[in-house]
Amino acid sequence: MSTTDVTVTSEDSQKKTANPTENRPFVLKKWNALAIWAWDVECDTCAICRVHLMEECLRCQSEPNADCFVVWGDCNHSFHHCCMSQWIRQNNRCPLCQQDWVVQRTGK
Amino acid sequence: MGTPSTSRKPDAVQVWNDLSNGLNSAYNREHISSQDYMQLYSSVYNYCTSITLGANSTRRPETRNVPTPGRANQEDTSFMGHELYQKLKNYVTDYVLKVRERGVDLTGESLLSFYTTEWENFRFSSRVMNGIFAYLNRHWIKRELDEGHEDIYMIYTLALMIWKEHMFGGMKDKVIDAVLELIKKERNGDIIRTAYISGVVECLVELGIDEYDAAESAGATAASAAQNGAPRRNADRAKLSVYKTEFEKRFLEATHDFYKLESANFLQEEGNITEYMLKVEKRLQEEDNRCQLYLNSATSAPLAACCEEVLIASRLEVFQNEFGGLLEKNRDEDLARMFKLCDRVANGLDQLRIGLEKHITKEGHEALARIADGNAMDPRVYVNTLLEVHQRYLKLVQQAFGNDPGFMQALDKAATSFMNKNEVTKKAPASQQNSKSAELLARYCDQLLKKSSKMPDENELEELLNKIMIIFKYIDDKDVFSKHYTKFFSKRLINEMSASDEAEANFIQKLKSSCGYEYTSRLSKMVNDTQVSKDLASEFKESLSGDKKSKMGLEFNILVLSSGSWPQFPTATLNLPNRLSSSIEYFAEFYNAKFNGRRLTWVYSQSRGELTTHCFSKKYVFTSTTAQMAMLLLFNEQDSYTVGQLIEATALDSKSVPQIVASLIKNDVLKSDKEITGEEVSPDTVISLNQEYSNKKVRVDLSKMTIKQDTNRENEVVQKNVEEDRKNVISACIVRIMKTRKELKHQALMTEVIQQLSNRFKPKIDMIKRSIGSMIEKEYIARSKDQNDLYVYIS
Repeated sequence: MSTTDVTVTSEDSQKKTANPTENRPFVLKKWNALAIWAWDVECDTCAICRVHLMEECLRCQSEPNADCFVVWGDCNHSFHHCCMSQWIRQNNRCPLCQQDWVVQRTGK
Repeated sequence: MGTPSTSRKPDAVQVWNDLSNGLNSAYNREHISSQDYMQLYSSVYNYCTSITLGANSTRRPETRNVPTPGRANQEDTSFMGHELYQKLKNYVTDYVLKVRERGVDLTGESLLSFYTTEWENFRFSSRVMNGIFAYLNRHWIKRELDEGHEDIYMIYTLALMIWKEHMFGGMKDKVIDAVLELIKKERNGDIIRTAYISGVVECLVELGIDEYDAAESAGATAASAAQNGAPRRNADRAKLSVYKTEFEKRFLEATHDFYKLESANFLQEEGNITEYMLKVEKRLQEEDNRCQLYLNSATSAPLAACCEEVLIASRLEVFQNEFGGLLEKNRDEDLARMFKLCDRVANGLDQLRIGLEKHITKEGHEALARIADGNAMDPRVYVNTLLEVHQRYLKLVQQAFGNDPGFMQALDKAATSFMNKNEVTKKAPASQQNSKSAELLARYCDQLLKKSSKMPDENELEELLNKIMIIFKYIDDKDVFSKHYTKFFSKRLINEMSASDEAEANFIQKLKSSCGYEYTSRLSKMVNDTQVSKDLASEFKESLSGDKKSKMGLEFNILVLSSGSWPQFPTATLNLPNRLSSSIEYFAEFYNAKFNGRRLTWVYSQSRGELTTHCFSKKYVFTSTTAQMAMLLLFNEQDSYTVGQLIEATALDSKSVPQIVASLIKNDVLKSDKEITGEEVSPDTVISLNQEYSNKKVRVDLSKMTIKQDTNRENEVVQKNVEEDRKNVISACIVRIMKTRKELKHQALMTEVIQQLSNRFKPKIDMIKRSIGSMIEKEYIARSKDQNDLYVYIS
């Protein structure tokens, strides 16, 4: 049993454990990791329909199988893509900062 | 007797003599040879056609129009006819009066015997007479009738009229008294000669003939019918008028009195409802048979109504009072009988329905009170108790109450009452009382669908799930059920604890068909997420280079879920052991290359792993949470740490370290120099590896000890989320309705929202109003400019 190394989280000691010297007290065998993904947005809620961006917007909720994703503007504000396309028909500005709306990227 | 047929113009007196001799033979029931019969018939013909003979007689009172000269012949014929008709009438009247004379002192059965015999004789003789006078029927009488003389009848009818007036009119009260007396005897159990009664009844029916004939001037049909002696029971209701007015009315009165007395006596002496119902059933059957056997079948309905009125309707209170007792004693057979009896009378079942609802409600509450127990309610016991009560009464309604919709409704109402609020839910904290049932039901689902040692087989499971759906139907807060179900379902998916994917999908399908697509969309998304994630994980594994693989040096499984569809997870961070941090690093690299605009958050609290041990007498495999793993791995470096050191090394917050330490101490893997109680642990407590550890099993699940979450707090969170969700659901519902309707009045919109959401929860009115307000604010809908209470959809 190795009890010599006191530096607990040092990179070196950890790297040693990676070697298949299987006489250490505990050896990692398996890890079932869980991760949650979300859109990389500043604000969780769509400012247009006030529904969470991870959920479909209100209009899409009433239509099964609608594909409702997120769009980011140059201003880094984000909305449901369908809410935004509705919006720019009347006003080609970001509803939050009033900058001209230019699509920076769309979610995938 | 007999006039030579060759005689062309016979003497009228002579002819009448011949005829009255013939009539005498007929009315004495003597044999008349066909030859004689023919001769009599000819005599009638001769009499009627002997126009000259009657010329010197007094002219008949002028009741008809002035005869035209061309009709002189006819005029005389009709005059002869009239005379013959009168003579005949006098003859029959004499006969009937004589018969009556003989029966005037008779009473009771001897009267009936006399009356029925005489009637049969009279009827027979009159038919013969009718035959003899057929010529008169066909010509003179027919013409009289055609011309609208109401006091002239066909010969047979005439005979009946005479009988009715003199015979029946004179002794009808005595005759009917005797009949009723006889029926009463039979009701009291004596054996009687029913032929007397049927004889009288037939007579009464036939005496109704005059109205029928008058109504229908086709005398020939009536005559031929009478000749054939064919009973014309169903010919016309008018025919029954004598029977109805003279007999049926009195019969029903007598019946009424008889049973009124009988039921009063019976209930007073015996007072036993079972016996009473048997008796009523028997009596009703007897009366029906009586009608079929020797009364007119037209009496069936009024007689049944009369008996039902006396025996049931006027005793409804007795039935209603006893109903509860029978339910109490589970006397299904009696209950079925009571149902059938009360079903016969108007509104007979109303009180029983109310009684049933009350009883089931009470039974349900009592059953739950028996199992209600402090805090830990076993969901299986709870659900089975609900089911038992429901199944018991469902069976009763189906079998004893003939699936009557009203009774079914009573069951539904009662079930809704005791399934949502009962002694068990009352034990829950105030804020959760309304939704406790939904929660327990969801827990029970989890028990069934989770991997366990005593798994029901496929068919059994299907049946159990169907039963759950029965209860689910009655649950008010279906959205709360959904919340809890989602929570448990997510645990099953993440930890791969589902007993069978098929059963899971099957149950989701059931929920979907009960509550619609939207209700289960989240569950479906979760299933979909895990599927997508599985593909993603294998794609990631294939993409790994050998170098990276060896750096990870462990079996790495990954589950990526979309936020929003899943319940919230706590996301505490910690210092990961190296192999783990490189694993997620590689995965993140892979993930970000594949997707755009996504952010990953790692949920260590839900990530589990396996460790193998080499420090104990035996080799073990420990299943543990990420935090437990991180902590145990520290003991690779040294045998003991202070709590303070552990906090520093793991970078976990100071509250969770003692919890994790405690879980490992409970499992005997670690030990401490001081007793650890609660969350407060002094940082200088020394924790060290327990070298003595031993366990019979090789695989040990250390994580189980940590899942001791506070259910109440968890439920509080669910309840809070529910309120938030309801707002969204109502809003979505309003938009959906307005999108299809374009325009809708306020009240109609409210009604439709409540109706559409009824299979999810009962929305509060002010909640809907607020939602409408916010939908107007968000410009989904607007108030119409012309009408204040009209909403318009904005597209």
